[in-house]
Amino acid sequence: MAGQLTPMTSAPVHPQAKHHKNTLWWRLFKNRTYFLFCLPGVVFMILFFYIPVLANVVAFKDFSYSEGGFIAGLLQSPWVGFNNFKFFFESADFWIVTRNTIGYNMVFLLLNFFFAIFFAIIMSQLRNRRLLRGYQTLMLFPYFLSWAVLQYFVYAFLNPDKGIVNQMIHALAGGKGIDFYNNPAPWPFIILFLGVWKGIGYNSILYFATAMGIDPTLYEASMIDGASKWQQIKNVTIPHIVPVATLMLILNIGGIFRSDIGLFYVVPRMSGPLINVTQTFDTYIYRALTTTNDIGMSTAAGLVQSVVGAALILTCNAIVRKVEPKSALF
Amino acid sequence: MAKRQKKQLSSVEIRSFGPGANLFFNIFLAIFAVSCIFPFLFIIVISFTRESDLVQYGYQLWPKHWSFGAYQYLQSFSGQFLQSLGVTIFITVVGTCLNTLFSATYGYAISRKDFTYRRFFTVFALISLLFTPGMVPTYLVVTRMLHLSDNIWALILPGAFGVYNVLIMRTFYLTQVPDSIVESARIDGASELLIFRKIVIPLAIPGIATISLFSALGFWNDWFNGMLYITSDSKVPLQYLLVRIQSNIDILAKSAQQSSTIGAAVAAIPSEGTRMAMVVLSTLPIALTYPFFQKYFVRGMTIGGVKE
Amino acid sequence: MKKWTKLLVGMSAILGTLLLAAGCSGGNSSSGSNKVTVSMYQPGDKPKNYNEMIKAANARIHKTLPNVDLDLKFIGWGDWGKKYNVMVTSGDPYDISFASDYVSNAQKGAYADLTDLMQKYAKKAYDMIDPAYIKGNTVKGKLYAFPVNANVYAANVLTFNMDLVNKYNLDISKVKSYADLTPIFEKFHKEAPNIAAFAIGQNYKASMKAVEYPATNSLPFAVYEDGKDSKIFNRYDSPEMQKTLTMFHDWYQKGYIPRDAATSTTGYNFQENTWLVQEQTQGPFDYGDTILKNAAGGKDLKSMPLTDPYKSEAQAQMANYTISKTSKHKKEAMQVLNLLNSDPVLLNNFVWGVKGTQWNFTDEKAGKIKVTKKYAPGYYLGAWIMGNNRILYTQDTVTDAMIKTRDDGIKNTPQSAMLGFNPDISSIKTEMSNITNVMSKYNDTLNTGTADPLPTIKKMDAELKTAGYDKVLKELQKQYDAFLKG
Repeated sequence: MAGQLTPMTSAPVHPQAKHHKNTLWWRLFKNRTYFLFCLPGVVFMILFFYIPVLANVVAFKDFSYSEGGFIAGLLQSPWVGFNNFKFFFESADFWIVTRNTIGYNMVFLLLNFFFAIFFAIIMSQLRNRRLLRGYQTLMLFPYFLSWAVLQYFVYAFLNPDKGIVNQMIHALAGGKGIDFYNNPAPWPFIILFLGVWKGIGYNSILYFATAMGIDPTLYEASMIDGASKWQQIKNVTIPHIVPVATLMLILNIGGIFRSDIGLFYVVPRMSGPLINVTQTFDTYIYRALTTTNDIGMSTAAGLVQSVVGAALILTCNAIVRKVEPKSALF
Repeated sequence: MAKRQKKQLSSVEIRSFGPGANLFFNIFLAIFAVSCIFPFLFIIVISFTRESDLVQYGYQLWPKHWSFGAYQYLQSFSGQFLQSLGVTIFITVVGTCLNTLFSATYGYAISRKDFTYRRFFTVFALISLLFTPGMVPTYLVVTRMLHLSDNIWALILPGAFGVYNVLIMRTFYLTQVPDSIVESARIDGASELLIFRKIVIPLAIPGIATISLFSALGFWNDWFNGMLYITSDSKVPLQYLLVRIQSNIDILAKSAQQSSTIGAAVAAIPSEGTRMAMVVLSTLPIALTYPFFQKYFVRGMTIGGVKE
Repeated sequence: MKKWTKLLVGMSAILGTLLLAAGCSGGNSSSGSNKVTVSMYQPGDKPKNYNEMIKAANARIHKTLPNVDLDLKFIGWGDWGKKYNVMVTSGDPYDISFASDYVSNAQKGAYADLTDLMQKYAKKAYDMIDPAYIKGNTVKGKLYAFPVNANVYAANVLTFNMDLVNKYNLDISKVKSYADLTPIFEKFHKEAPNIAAFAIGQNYKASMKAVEYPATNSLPFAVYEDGKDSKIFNRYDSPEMQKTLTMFHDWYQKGYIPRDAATSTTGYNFQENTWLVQEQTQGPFDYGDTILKNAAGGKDLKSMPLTDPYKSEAQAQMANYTISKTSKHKKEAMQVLNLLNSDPVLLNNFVWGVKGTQWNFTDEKAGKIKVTKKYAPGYYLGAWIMGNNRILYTQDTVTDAMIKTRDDGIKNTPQSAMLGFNPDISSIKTEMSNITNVMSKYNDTLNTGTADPLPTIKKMDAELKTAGYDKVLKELQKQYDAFLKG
């Protein structure tokens, strides 16, 4: 609709428009402002994405150095097909790693969505703005604490003999307490809890800003219709959050094969007995490549993550386009 | 004056809970917020705990012996600390402005249905989300093509644009900037640039505040680019300084157990306490800027306001 | 609003100009004169007196090499691995750098071949290096490293905190092995249950009397250093190791080893009485416990021997300097390395700090010095990493007898059978990665006594087998046999 509107409205300004309308130059000229708007981004992506991404071919090569530097080395190195991918696919841990990575990410996706939107909505409805500002500031703190720091905090609670939890068990029930770092059972919950808890402040910002950006007249109208608070949220707030939520869904699903080394490696303190519930694709790669340190293999691992992510983004977008074309990305 | 206040009040009320629900959710949020700040308070306590207590008794909510050792140790870095703080503030401010500007304009272009090539530019940006360029080739671009090694711009440019932010802005424009307003402005003869500046930006302020907050947090927390590109002390950003001090302590403590020759440098650094003290000092400034951004989340102008 | 927009427009203009300028400027390295600056990278923090140090050093260098300047670049220990990796992989034209992953980088051709360069430009320094270093760093018949001549042999020792030993009246005179610690721990733990008797933590590896590791010590492969048995074996399957680990497990259960050892990364500070025994590595240039005590700020420590000393592969590769294949100043770099490793005035200026500030001669002829109060961490660089320890001045507390013990030790200590064995793992990369992963599950719990060793080792071996252990062992053994023959 709008696309047809524009040339019509500009017609009086450019009398010869009809003449030139279909030539390439006219189209380019007409879009000049948009090109200008895109220019910095395009330059950026060429420099920091399109040029360096080409080096991903190293995943299919047995890389060796050359006097001409990295690029010469890359060109001279022999092709080895999918050799660099083998170490992961042939590993005995393949299924565990895949299960953990995708499992955790699916649950995270759900929980993060639910809690971020839930918090955003209640925060947008609070009466006292000053209090709210305080809450939000405090909730953002965990985001700043890196996992490397938070793991100390977690350790302070869970340490086998000096930890707060075990000291409490000692005091109340006696006995030896729980050796958390040798006992995998509680870890899926610990990890999920920590991951969600740390991200709520940050994740809810986007939805909060969206909810706050809703035109107040819409609520007014809804109130005049006699809608209850819950109905207002259902009929005004949530529909406005859906497009942003859909966008985040499409984007986040691309990261389904990625995970935070901090949460899965540093927080469990690299503990061996926990590996079956803490090993994800990234920690697997990190552990496996410490001795070989091979650029071909690490790039191959990155490519696997990218390809899985890309496939999911495309699928997800296709589904969204069917259901709600306005929210689809492309 | 009185009338205006009353109007504002009513616009706040429209969006609010009733008193009962309000109290309930206030308590709920307060408890959650306390759980979020708790580790931070705990970290402050640790930073004042005597080092030997940490080894012997572990972390305690109330230490047996208090100590200023960590902060005394950090004092020898105070000159460098202030310098790095300055660097970080500079890159955060400049980087956030650039990122916000570039992402907001790109997002606007691909949100416009009358932009003939919007599909191309959308896909062009999306592809960059699907794959990750390696660290080594990116390093080569920055150091060899742009000649930015040990240059402060090497900390800014790699974050000067963000596809995530572009897509967030695109959604904001699509949902909160109605076509009709842009069209009517165009009929009035306003140029595209003028429309963007005078009409689109004011309507998209919540979105702009969001992405600028995101990118500010990103710049503030980034230490990796500092590690890769910066060699001279005068350009080291704060987070990298902290990571550096911290990991040096770590490694030295570890190697001290293996070789006395390496360990010679460890002497008596209060490692854990220092680490915590640094976290305190680097987190507070940025966390406290949040209210500034939050102010802009509330839509500045209603659509009706523009029409009039 | 308006101001804000203007600001943004201004910013983008600046950025555009900057990008243009950066793109056009190109190389601005040639500045007329033929002066050469040799860059030298090493891990660690920049010393606080770096400016004085480097000024004195360059003045000294100019006496023999008037057109060469040295520029030391420091990268913190924590970032070193990552940054070095990027530098090497991207083909950065650095001149000299401390090497990590020396063997695999050398095999992939990252370094300049120094075999001839060293003979030509660094003969003097080369002749002072112990032959074990040359043998240990030869990869595929070529030398890619300039090794720092220091502790060419080393042994692990058990270091006791004498404050506690005296306080609880413990007899440590007969300690020769881990087993001798049991009665000591028993007595100590009864009286001081809150102090770590055996202070170990994550990443600790139990030692065997005389073995070396063909890969790294985090993988199970080991060979005997005495060379009587040339089989590469899984050290966790050996009776010696299993006995040690069973004992550790017993200690762990009795509380001699801290309960959180497998996950603890807290360092036990020498100066504090939070530990009784630690395991340390010592070599000839440590002069017994002298260096250790210095590091501990004069605290009374005593070390008892644990493993047999050998001139080992690990010691030979302790500190290597390499020249980048893409360096433009290979000749000058080698000349600088020659001076650093043969000119006492130059080297001691780094290792002890600035003369007259950090130290003074007591006997210039004998190279005896006394450090001043200004000799403190952050004002000198590590001896093991800087250059030839043979030409270092010694503190006046180091006696002639100590120096004689040192030299005798270096002369008489045998070379490890594995010295010079640098396996090429490119054909078994996949299996090595998977084995590394398996070991990451077991290393910490086994070596700290947390896990019951026998059943755990059984489980681990089964997993190693599926990860391709046999293939790796076969390949390593094949290369080792060929090495022993050649």
